[in-house]
Amino acid sequence: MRLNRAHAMLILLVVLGGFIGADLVQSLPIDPFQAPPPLAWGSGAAASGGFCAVPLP
Amino acid sequence: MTVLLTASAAPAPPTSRIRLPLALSALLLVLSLSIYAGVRQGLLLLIGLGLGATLEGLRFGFAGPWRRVILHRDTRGLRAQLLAIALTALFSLPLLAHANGELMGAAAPIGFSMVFGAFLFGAAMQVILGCGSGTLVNAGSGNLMGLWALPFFIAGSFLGTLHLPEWERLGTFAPIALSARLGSEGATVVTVTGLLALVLGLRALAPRDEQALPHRLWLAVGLLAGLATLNLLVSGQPWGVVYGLGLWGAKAATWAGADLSGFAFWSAAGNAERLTTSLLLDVTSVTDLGLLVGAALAARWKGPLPEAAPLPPRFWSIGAGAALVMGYASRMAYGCNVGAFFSGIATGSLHGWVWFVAAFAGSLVGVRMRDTLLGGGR
Repeated sequence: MRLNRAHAMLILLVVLGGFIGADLVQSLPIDPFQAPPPLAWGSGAAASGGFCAVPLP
Repeated sequence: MTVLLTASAAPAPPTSRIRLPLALSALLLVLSLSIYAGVRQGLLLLIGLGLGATLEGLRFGFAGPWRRVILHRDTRGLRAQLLAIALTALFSLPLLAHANGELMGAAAPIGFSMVFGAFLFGAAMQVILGCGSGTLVNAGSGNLMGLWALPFFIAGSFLGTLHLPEWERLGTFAPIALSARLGSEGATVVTVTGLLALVLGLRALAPRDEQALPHRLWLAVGLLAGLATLNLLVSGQPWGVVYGLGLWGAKAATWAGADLSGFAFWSAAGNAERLTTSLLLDVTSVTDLGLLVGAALAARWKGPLPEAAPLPPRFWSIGAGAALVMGYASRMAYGCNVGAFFSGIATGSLHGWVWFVAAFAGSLVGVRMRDTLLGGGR
């Protein structure tokens, strides 16, 4: 059977779903009540997310 | 023959019939994540979906347009990239100036590893014809090479984090933010003027019949700038790709039993914490997931997926190697075409400009390498 684009897309979505599921099992549980405000702008909290341009401390 | 006749006689499903389920699926994903992980993460997924849909739906790329500049002096795609960055800068730089630390720019140090990494990235992205965002979009839209390259890109991004301290020891300057030197207004004027001057120069270089930008690129410019600015407002940081992929690789390594506590990158406070919390709480991971799924939805939205052309065996080995190098180099360079080039320049970091020059020089080599190794075709 030749792999076509629909197969490739399906494989990707299944693997992604599996990866997210495994991550949820392995990680600390998410507490939605500890979620940050919807917007960082105006939140009063300093930006602290992971970003590729941030050099090592 | 019977099969062919049967297949061609069957009525094709109307494209509009599939669009409602696709839109509802996207909405359901966003709502689910908003409830499960908070409204901010839901909004970030929505932004990622929009970015993926824009890049795939409007055929806006980075690697392909650079190749067309080098081979055919067709500068339309590159001009669209620069216009999108200029429009983003026009909003982002004033926002950063008034954010009181709530928003951060993409300021990274310039040094040997940054320049060499950008050069390698530019070369590798031409070999594979997919950049940081492009690899995700290609994978999402069912492109076999994109799907094959993605795990190697992730592995390279992860490996790059392990060696980052050694690369930094080769020498770096402190990050240079134009707004710190010129003020917010000065940085905005210099960045936007510089980009527009480049756009005009590239327009003059193009053949007469390729001087005007097609409507789809204008639309993509507006959408990308809007979504990148929203990403900054919602997450507090510019649009990026590579950090999330490195985190996915690090998580997979940890699950396989690796102890990353001895590595400077993964023992740093924020990074160590993100190894233990869900990737659904990580900004870049969520927008990366959105890019992948958004590209998939946009590809299907356009209609039935075309057949994938079979790839010769050498494409697989060369593609894997190039994707690995691209991931590794993106960490050396403090980002890919998105985090360093797009967001670096748009938020006034000098390293974004240096990244552009070094990566374009790498692309000059990469275009030749692709034609030699793979024969030019996709």
